[in-house]
This record gives sequence, structure tokens and C-alpha cells, in this order.
Amino acid sequence: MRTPVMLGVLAALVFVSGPARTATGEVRGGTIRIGMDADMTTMDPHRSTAAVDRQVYNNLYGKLVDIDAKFGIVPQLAQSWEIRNGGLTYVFKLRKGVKFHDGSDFTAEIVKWNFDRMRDPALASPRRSEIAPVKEVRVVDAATVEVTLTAPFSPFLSVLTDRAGMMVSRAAVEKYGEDYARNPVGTGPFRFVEWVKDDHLTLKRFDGYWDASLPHLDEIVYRPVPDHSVRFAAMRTGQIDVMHQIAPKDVAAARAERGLKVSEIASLWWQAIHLNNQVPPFNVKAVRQAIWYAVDRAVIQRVVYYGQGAPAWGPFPPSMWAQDREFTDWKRDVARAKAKLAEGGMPNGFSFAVKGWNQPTHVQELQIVQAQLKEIGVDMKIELLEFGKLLADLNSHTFVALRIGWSGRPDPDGNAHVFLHSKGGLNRVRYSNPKMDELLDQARAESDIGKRKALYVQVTRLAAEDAPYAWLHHDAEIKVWADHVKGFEHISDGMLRMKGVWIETR
Amino acid sequence: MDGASLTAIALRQFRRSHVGRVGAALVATFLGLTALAPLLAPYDPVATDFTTVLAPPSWTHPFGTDDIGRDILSRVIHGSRVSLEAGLFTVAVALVVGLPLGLAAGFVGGRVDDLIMRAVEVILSFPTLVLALGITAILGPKLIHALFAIGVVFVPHFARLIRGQVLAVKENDFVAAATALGATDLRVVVLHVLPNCIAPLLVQSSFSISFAILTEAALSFLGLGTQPPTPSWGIMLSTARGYLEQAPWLGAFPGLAIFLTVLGFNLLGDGIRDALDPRLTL
Repeated sequence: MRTPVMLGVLAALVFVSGPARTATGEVRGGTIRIGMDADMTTMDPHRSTAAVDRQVYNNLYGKLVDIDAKFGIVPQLAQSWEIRNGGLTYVFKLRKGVKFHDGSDFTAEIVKWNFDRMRDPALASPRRSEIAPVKEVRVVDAATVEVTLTAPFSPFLSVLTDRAGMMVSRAAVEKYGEDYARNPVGTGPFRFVEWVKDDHLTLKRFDGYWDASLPHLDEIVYRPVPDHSVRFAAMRTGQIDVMHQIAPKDVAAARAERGLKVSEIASLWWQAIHLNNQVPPFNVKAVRQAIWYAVDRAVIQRVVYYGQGAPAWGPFPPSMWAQDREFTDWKRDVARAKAKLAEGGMPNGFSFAVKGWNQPTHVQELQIVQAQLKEIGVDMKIELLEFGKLLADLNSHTFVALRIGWSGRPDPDGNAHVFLHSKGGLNRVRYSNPKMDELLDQARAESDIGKRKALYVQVTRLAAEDAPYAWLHHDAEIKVWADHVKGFEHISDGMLRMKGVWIETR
Repeated sequence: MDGASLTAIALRQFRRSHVGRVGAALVATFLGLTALAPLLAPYDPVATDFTTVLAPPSWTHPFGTDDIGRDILSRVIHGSRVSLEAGLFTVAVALVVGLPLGLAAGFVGGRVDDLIMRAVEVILSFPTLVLALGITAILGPKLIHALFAIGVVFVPHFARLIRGQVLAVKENDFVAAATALGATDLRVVVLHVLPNCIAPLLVQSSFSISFAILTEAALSFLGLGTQPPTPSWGIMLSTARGYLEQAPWLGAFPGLAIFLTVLGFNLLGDGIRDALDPRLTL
């Protein structure tokens, strides 16, 4: 007797809970599983130093502004802004009625508190140097904030599209203290649920998101799968829906696989061998130049990267307006490399050790460089380390040469100033040239793009002349996702912004 | 039983063992490869050719080429040298350290025995590969460090084996006789006890060589052993791991080389053990 009733209830449930489509055709609901190349390190954006963390933050946190596919600055928590006093003052009009996941309000007061938190020396925030030009943050009214800079700093808005612009809940920081990093509260489209180290991190839809039509998904699960081959296998067998970071050699297979989509655009990355400018033999400019001319970037692009990406002759990738596309002095020239060796007082070559990450693509690339240097009589020994040790050696200047990459920033300043300025925070090679400092400082103070470009062309040429780094390659930004994943907008910064993404159910 | 010497009997026993003969043949092939590597290898094992990357096996490259265009056949042949070094060096380390320790523990006994055996047990309580990993992580990723680490890992096995042998041998009348005739302890140990421990040592060494080859491959696979571009079977496998589908020849040949060499030393060890086992003598 009960069965017909139950069936009726079930039918009603199916009718009610069946895929709900929005007017524009997106489907609400579902879980998306993302395969990551590493586990997250912290959920506090003001303390994070790992690129992988930003992938989660972009869904968990709201930030003052964001970038679009053309590097244009678009509103997020700040609905509009005005730049006054020749670039010294930024006035942000905030979006009203925005709530944090814990129910607290997002206000001008909170923005000021966030800036103060990042600038507090006690927190030792990596953001502190990014927003170093900030002199004062003033609350004008509940929805207006005025930021004053010590000097014009044209990358400022661009800096706020990353972690420095992410707003954390004051109530949550005060409640959890040191444990905030594992109990994050933002204003993003998804709220934090749980993080099981080295296994998964889960976010759920935030029903109080300021844009009531978003997000479409119910849940995001991030899974760290460090091994490229294993991650790709998980993608092919449907254990994950989106894959972050694919090995260059697997791209063709991914394209050929039914049910997978591959998107390839120019990234913000550069890869380079860092040459320690303060210790022999690379304290001699001619010797660094010998390396510059001895490496064959075209071969590296073809063999290691399967033709993806582009050869690198400086810190600016092809995705940036700052790249000097007329520059040609990066091609291999063995005779010139040998002449430079002689000029540097080492006509018979020399021997040195390069430190690198024990990761297949890097090992392959280093062995190619090794073979190319051998042709000019330079014996490069390869010392492979795990990533943590490599970073530690880089940061403590414990290297003669070290191969590592930079994930890049939307503004060219973020790809060059920290590495090439004598006071740059990541200038681990201890390169110093007053002319370079002047150019970089001028470029960040200039607001006219045409003039900035002219300055960055000079930066590129001077960096090639001084050769503090042997730039090798700009990676392609490649994402792989399953056919049923819709609505993903691929931007050069490679961030997986999931608020507009939905899953097609069949 | 005829009047043949013990050695002759052992040799005859060994020749009768199929297992031992196969093992000896494999080991002989391996030793031949290491000795004649520069003559046998068709190419320089580190020479790259960026125009033929990941080429499948062909007449010009019988085993194909790797991810930066090196000839795999030449690398497998030269890789045998790293494996031989690994086997011999580690067994030498284990013998140099483990033999005196085992002799002292077994012969002197008492507190010396306690001290040595407890130390040995501490080392034994670590999983082999983890201990080797730890040692190379501290000393730095170099082949010689990896080999030293494997050698240290073997020390307990040799020390315990010798100690056991010594304990059995020293109860024999000929030891008592030698002591009674006024021989010093050192003379007794070296001339009377040690020779009677050789047989199990040979067997243990043979097995250890094969285990050392495997461990070197494992450490190199993890990036802690041989450093590029030196050809080592472990490193070749490590590279091959990413190309199992695209270019299976990258892993197949070094894998086969490891398999045959390890099998060879194991069978050889079995053969020697059978030949020297008095209970099997006719």
C-alpha cells in the first residue's frame, strides 16, 4: 500500500531537484574535482608564498579588483576607483552589502584593517614588500577607502588582483589567531569546508555571495597529485574533472583523448638559470655572456616543451605588452660564446655546478644545456635537489648557478623589479647596476603605457647585456578539463576561477 | 670419495648445477660488458642528437634513443659499469667494516660481543632503503655517497653472518689445538677461523652484489644516486617512467638489464652455496 505513495514522493523529488537551468543555460549544482601539482601550504593569503595556494584563494576570497583575459583591471569588491594627485592617491568605492562567510560585514573599516595587517612587521607578511609604496589607508565613509602612496606606483592595481588585494575576515582572525591559516574566512563565491593535508581540500558554495546568481557549483574538491603522469592518468580515467599543470610531452595525448578539452594560451612564466653575480666565475660579465650565447633556446623549446611556449630572452613573456619583440640577440652563437669566454679570461672553459629541481622536465632541460655548454668547453655538473632544499639554497644565496622559474605577475614590474633591481626582494643572484635600478624605478612610476614600454625595452636590452640570468623559456599556460565542465575562462595568470563554471549533466 | 681436493670437489659440484651455470654465464656477460664497454657501445653514451629524440628501436639505434636523443644501447652498456661499481664497492665497504666487527664479536665475546651486536641491531632495525636514503640525504646526492650508504646498510648482515660462523668454528678442536700450541689470538683468527668462514661469505657477497645493484638503481631513480648525464640503469628507468606509453623502449632495456644481472648474481650465489654445502657432496 505504501509503494505508490513512495513512488509519488520520489517522482515529486526528481521533479523538484532535477537539474535547474538558469536563463542562460547554466546548470546549478554538482561537485568539481581538481587535480593539483602540489598540496596547499596555508589558507592565509597574507602569509602565503606558494603559487598553488592562489588557486584556492581565487574562489575562497574576494579581492578589491581582478584582471580579465586582456589584463584589464575589473571591479570585484571595489565597484569603482579613481586615481588622483598624479597617481599618489587611490579612492576605492566598495560594493555594498557584501558579507564574509562567517556573517560579518565587509566595510571600509575592514579594508583598512587588512592593509594594516599586511603592513604590520610582526606578521612578516610577504605582501608587505608588494604594497611597500602604501603610505596611508584612510576610511572616508563605510563604503569608501582612500589609499595614499609615497610615490606613483603604476602596478598598484595589478598587485591588488593577487593576494595583497584579498580581504580576510577580521572577526575570524581575532577568533582563531594562529589557527586562522586552517580556518579561513573570505567573501568569495565558495566557503572553506575542510583540508586534509596531502589528500584533499574542499570548498562549498557560499549561499550569501554578493552576486546571488553565482556560483553554479555546489562543491570544489582539490586533490594534490604531484606526479605528472599519475595526474594525467587520473584525468583520463575521470577521477578528476580539471587538471592543473600538464607535462609538455602529454599535451598531444590530451588533445587526442576523447572527452578532454585542452586550452593553451601564453602564460606569465619565465624559466632561467640564475647565475650568482657575486662569486666566480659568474662575477665576470663576459663569462655570463658566454653562457647566454652558448644555450640554444630554440632546441629547448622544441625538445623539452614540444614546441609549446616561447624562447625567453628576458623577464617579459609574449603575453605582456612589455616584451621587446624586435630583440634578436638571443640566438645561439658558439663562436661568440667562445670569444666571450676568452674575453672573460677563460679561453679553455671552466667547470661549475648548477642546482636544479629533480623533476623530469627540468632534468631533461638541464641535460640539454649541459650538452650545449660542453661544446664551448664548459663542464656543467648537475646537482638535483628536492624543491624545498632548492628554494632554501636560492634564498640563502648558496649557489653558483641555480635553475628555477617564476610564475609571473600581470604587471611587467612584477616580473622584473624584484629580480633585477639591486634592492629587489628576489634578486638572489645579487645583480647590481645603477642604470638598471633607474630604469626599473622610472618604469614603475610612469603611468603612460607607451613610455613604460620604451623603458622596459631598455630593461630587456640591458639585462641581456649584463646577463645576470640565462633566461631559457616562457611556458605555455595549459589547462585540461573534461568535456562536461563548462564556462571556464582561461586567463594568462593560470588561476582556476570557478564561480562561472558549471557541469553539464546528461 | 676420490682423493680430489675440496676445491676440485666444489668446482665439480658447481659444474653440475644448472642454476649455477646459468648464473655464471649471465655474470660473465655482465663483466664482459663492463670491461669492453667503450669497444662495444656504438655511440658515446652522453652524446646528444636533438634531431632524433625518442626514436624507436631501429638499425641505427637498436634500443632506440632517449628524451634528449642519446643512444639507449650505448647507455645500457655503459650503465653496467655503474652497476658493477655499485656491487663491488658496497660489498667491499661491508666486508672491510663488517668482517672485523663480526670476527671480534664472535671470537672475543662477552661485552665486546654485546656492544657490537647491539650497534648492529640498531642499524638493522631501520628499513634498508630508508637508511640509505637518510645517509645520502645528509652526505649529498653523489654516486659515491649512495654506494657508501648501501655499504653501511650491508655491514650488519656481514657482521652477524661472520659472528655466527666464528661461534661455530671456534669450538672446533683444531682451534683449541692452535691455542694450546701458543698461537696468538690474531694468528688463530686469521689462519684458522677466517678460512672456515669463506664459503658463506662468498654466498652472501654474491647476493649482496645483486641487492646493491637494485638499491643503486632505486637511489638513482629517486635522484640520490648517479647524477646526469652519467648513464645508470636506475636513472634511465627514472626518465622512462614518464614515457611508458609514448616510448616504452626507454624503460624496457635498462629494466631487462637490471633483471638479468640481478638474476645472474642470485643464481651464481645459489650455485656456490650448493657447491660448498657438505651435505650435498657425493
